[in-house]
Amino acid sequence: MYTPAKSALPEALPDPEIISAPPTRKQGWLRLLLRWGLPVLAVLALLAGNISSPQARFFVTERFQTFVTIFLGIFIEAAPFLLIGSIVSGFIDVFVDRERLEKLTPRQPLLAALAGTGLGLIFPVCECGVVPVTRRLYEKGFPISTGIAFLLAAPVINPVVIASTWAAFGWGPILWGRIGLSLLIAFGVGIIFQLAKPDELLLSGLLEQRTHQHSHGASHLTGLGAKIALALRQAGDDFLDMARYLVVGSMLAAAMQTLVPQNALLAVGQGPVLSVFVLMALAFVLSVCSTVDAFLALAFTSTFTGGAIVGFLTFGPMVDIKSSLMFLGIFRRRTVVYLILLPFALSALFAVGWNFLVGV
Amino acid sequence: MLANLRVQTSLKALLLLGLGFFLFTRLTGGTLYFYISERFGWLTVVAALGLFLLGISYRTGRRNEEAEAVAGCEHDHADGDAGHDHAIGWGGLLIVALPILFGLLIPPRPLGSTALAAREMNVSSVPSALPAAVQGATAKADTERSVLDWVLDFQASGTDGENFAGRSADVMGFVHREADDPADAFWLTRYVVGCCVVDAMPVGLRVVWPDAPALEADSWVRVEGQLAENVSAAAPWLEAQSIVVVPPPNQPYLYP
Repeated sequence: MYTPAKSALPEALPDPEIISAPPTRKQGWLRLLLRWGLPVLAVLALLAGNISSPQARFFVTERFQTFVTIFLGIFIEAAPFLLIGSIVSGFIDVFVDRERLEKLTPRQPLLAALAGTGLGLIFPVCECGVVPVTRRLYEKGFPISTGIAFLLAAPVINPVVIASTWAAFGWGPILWGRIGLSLLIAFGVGIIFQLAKPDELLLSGLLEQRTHQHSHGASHLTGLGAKIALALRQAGDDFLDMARYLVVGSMLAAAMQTLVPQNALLAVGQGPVLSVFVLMALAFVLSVCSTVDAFLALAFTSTFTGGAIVGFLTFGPMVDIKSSLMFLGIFRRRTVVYLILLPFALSALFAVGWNFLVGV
Repeated sequence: MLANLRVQTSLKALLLLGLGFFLFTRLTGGTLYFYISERFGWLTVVAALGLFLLGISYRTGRRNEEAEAVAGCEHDHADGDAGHDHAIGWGGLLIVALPILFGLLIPPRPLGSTALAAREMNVSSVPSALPAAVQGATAKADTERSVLDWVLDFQASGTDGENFAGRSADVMGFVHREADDPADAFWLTRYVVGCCVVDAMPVGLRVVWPDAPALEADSWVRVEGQLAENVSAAAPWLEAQSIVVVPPPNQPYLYP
């Protein structure tokens, strides 16, 4: 009975991040809706205000059609991967017990982070599937550094993505640079987060599960059929839980694609430093799945520096609009901000360094 | 509490089935490839089946849930449901329902010329670095080639246009006009899609045709004609001999 003590704290204290009790989920959602929903509504109202002539109305409905097509495109493309990740997560919940997992994970922090970076080779997931799996592993008491390293590295360090990058760029510096930098950054960020306590990073619901010794429901059940049914149901819960973030993320990405002209961004981006930031910003905005972003990057090779391409291919899979929203299902908001900024800073540093050391 | 839980559980099952049904309508309606690349079609089949499976699993699971809630395991579930895994809230359920609402209420349409406003039609933006695609393109007979094949070939062979003058082409695409196009010209456009519409890149052949003003933007046409050297621009253009309006294809995009 530790929870009532926590949630008895008043919600309205000045900085909710400092107190150990974060807002309940419902309030968190309300706040998220207000934060994202209001600006979207404002933009829509602004657009609606301009609709006076039939041509303008035509223009807006056409834009809206484009928005819907792109939104559904991202969702339909990502849903299978999220589903597979959720099913893996559901089965981990029911069939993997905490003690065995503890034995398998290295206790030494450096080794733990290193193990996380390589885990993608066993669970080939892209940036949508990796989130529910990571959350489940945290619930099972996974070390923080291993989870973060897995979350950041797995979208690149997995057979499918390595193969698609190879198909696009061949055995060259871009492929090795992408793999090497992803490993390095995931490892580094994992180590940095190891310095913080889990209860400063994770959502309270997750922490509760993490410290809660019995695994949920599974111990009551005997029989394989019932266990599989429970695993599937957990998978369903996980899928819906994460799909909220996926939907909001895809809508934002689609809105950006519909409203912000790409060439405006691309026109800015020349030079060894600026080009890196432009392509990394583009990677964040586009939210393209890591399994195919290499083909997209090919289109930029003629106009952008090598460092910028590597930055695009390293940063994009780790953090983009939809994945950073999905992180909100695992981490506290402040952690998510660090989880965006740290990979951004490190990727930018290495990518700019690449331009100066390796050449453009 | 229990009643609320039961309603939520039913709604979640319904939502999973609904999402599965939405994917199913795209598969049976032949509009799936308005959104994603052909290559990933099978994944959508997997996802639809998986979502149905998960939705059905709630039926068997509900009994366990109720048994558990009644028996009350040591940790207190009734505690405002704060952060409890099973409650995603009404707002959350509504958000997840958005793809179904958008998908079923708004008639599906592929990307058209409006989306070009946020993109640049540029020969050099095509993934020409893919040697296999270029080889595949140049190996095809002239009249078999798509807009993408021609554009890749233009780019691979240096775009002075001399090699292309007089060759005949038979291509399909939608009509798009740039602001500075003369009245008798338009761009016969296709989108090249690697993964889904997010990475769609437009490629176009410039077509000259005296009756061009009669063609509506976004209408799909089949153009037969001959390539001609373009004095002002790098890539050759297509002088049309016949233009037929055709219904939009089920696979509106080209794949590299």
